[in-house]
This record gives sequence, structure tokens and C-alpha cells, in this order.
Amino acid sequence: MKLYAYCLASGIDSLPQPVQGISAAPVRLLKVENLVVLVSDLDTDAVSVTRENALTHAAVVRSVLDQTTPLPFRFGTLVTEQQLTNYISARKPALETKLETVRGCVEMSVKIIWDFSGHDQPEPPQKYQENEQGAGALFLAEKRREILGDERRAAHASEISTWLQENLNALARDKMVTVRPEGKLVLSAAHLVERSKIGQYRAKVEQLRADRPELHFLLSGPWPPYSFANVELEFKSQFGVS
Amino acid sequence: MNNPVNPVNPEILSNWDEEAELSLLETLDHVLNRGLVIAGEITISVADIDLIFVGLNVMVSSVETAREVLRRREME
Repeated sequence: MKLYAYCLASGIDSLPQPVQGISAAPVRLLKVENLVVLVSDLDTDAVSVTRENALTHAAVVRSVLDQTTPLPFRFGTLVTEQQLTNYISARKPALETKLETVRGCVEMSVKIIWDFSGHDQPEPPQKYQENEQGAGALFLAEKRREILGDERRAAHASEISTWLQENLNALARDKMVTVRPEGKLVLSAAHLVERSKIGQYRAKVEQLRADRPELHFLLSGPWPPYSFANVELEFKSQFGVS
Repeated sequence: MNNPVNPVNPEILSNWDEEAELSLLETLDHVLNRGLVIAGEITISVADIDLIFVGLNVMVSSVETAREVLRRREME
């Protein structure tokens, strides 16, 4: 029998109401030193990625969000009690620091979709027109146009990212921003926002939406701080260890 | 400033119940792609991945993450 782990928290002694976890198993609190982990028993070696299981995981984590700000485990965290205890004991200072960072906050998410068709890319210089040059010159001209287009996409994606951060950073305790100029989903941002500032954050995004009608904004939240939970990733990024 | 970004084609979004789909996609993206990881202890299967791989490319990284995890486990 293994434990399915949903989230790590501090400052709670009981669940606000009975909660069903993966495979309808009851969720309980497992105390490890001064921290608690929401777990349920699971008699399997793997967890299927189904809509039901993913939503159940999310619902269990969310069930304590009114009481505290937990650190969610990623979907599929299936461990023995000994493994879980060892993990927490070995990383207790980092986990406590992380819990302190997210305390009183939630995660808000903004995604931006654009339609950068590139039809307004510069025309190739006249000297590369087909009737004057051979296949090699045409190939190079096409490559040049591709490169210029990529550079323009990257520059505008960067401008959008800078603009968004200039407007939202003041409302966030922390942020995670991913920019992908090559796709329609050009930017994904997660902000760690104090609960008292959620209204301000939403109002600001509405203002930004009005300021840039050519962009499509997807705003969601509040979420438990999934994007700000992973101490392992931070360790790797700080020390270059994988 | 000359802005080369075209307005998003309304047809792209017209058949999309944005709030409902966004809520589901965001939930799946958060749950599958983020959160505390106990190294080596993510044990998922992707047999039902078609159920969740819907719309946009929000989920692509999650699906790739799932497949990568399985690939790594097979190599271990």
C-alpha cells in the first residue's frame, strides 16, 4: 500500500470537511514533524492520467486553500510513508522557507494568445526576384526572410512580456513567466499574489486587456501556488545541478 | 509604435466555451505540469491522454512531460 500525496501544509490540524481522493479513498492528514501532508491510500503502482483523477487531485489541494496556502505536489506523487518522511526531513528548511514565501498568497495566471501571421514581413529586396536570380539566391532570400521574421516575432514577444511585467510585478510577490514567440500562446505568466490584492490584480488585467485589444488574454485563478512550489527546480537553477 | 500583431481571429475562439475550457485546461496544466516533485516518484500512465489533450497548446508541455517521465522510468 502506498500513499498518494496531494499537498504539504503547515498550521492546520484537521480537514475542514471529509474529502475523497483518488479512487474515492478518504484523504487524511499525515503529520511529519511540524508539517502536514494531505494523503490517501492507494493500492496501485501508477496513477492514470484521466480527467477525473486530475480534477480530484486539484479538488483535494483546493479543499484547504481557505485555511492555509499549501504547497501542492505534482500529480502522480505516489510514495511510501518512509519515502515521504525522508523527503520532508531532508528538505525541511527549504520547504519551510517556501511555505513562508507563499503564506497568505494565491497563484494568478495570465496567458496571452496572439495572431502573428507575419504577412507584414518585409518583402525581399528586388535583386532577389525570381526572374533575375537562380535557385541559390532565392533560397538565401527565403532564409533571410525567415530569420527576419523570427527576429521580429521574438522582439515583439519580448516587448509584450516586458509590458506585462511592468504592469503586474508591483502586485505580485513572485512571478514565473514563459515566452514562446513561435506559438500562438505567446506568453504564460503565473503570479504569486497576496489574497488582499486579488481584486486589484484582476482590475489591472482588465485594464491591460483594454489597452491591447489585438491580444487575447486568458486570466484564471486564484490557484494554490503550483508554479511556486518546487524546491528542487529552484535548487537546480541556482546551483546548476541536475 | 508600429504593431505587427493582428487581432486574434474571432473564428478561432467563437466555438469555444472559453471559461469552461480554460478552467479545465488550466486545472490540468497546473496539476500535471507543476508542483512539488519527489524525484523518481511520479508514477502516471498516459493511456487516457486523449481525454485531456484538448484545444490550444496549453497542454502540450504536460503531455510531453508525462511521456518524458514514462520514457525515463522505462530506461531506469
